[in-house]
Amino acid sequence: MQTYNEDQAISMRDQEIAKNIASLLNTNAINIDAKIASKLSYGRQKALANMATPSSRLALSQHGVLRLLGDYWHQHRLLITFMMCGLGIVALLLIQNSSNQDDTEQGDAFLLASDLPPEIYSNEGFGTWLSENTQQ
Amino acid sequence: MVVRKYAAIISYVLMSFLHTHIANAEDTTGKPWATLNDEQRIVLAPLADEWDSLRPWQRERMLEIAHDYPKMSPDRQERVQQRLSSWSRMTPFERENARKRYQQFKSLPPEKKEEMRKKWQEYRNSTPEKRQELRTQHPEIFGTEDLSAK
Repeated sequence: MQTYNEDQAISMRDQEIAKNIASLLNTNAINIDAKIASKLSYGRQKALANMATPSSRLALSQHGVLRLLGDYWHQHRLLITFMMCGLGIVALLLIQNSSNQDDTEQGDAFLLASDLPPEIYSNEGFGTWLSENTQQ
Repeated sequence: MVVRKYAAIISYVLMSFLHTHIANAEDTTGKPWATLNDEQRIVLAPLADEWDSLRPWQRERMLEIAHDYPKMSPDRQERVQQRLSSWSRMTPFERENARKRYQQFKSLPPEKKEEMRKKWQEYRNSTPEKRQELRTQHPEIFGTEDLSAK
């Protein structure tokens, strides 16, 4: 019972001291320089803003976190799809280029450089001779 | 942020590649003689006078020849230049037949090809009288007119 009274007395005294401090601060705040008051106000707002941002992130539930990951993945999936399509087109063009190069190995230039003149190749009789010798 | 940067770089590379590819494809059609580069002019010199009267697809074919030309040995390059003019005067039908038969000739057994090469070598080295005789005997091989200089 005695201990309870002592605790109550201490609590009352603490409250009294806190009131005195608040009163002193209020009294001095009136006399504070406007520049310092502005800086303090700015600092307070900044501190509150910093507190607000993580709290809003934290406020996101597990679903929110998953949703964020989902959005991130969705964006990258699209990006990867586009990149793969692009690479596919490049691969096709490269294959086409290389096959064209193969074709030019059998192109007109090589016909002209052949041991036989091109007029012989256009000769009907030579065509017959070729057919006979290909069948043998 | 980093991914976006890489995506931008890859997109740029892809666009550049496509642009170059399309530009190259367009380049080869209907080029006037004045726009040919030095190498092309040297190779296609026998066609200089008639180049601008050739049709775009004919010019394209000739430019393909100029493209393959540096891959050849000097003696084959000489043959190409000697035969360019007559080749450009052949009809599309004759040229198409020649292409088909050239491919057919290439598919012959090596000994058959060698046999034909030897016959042509002998024909070229023969006298005009002997060549005339050979043409009469084998028009299917040597044709009806003297092609030894070609």
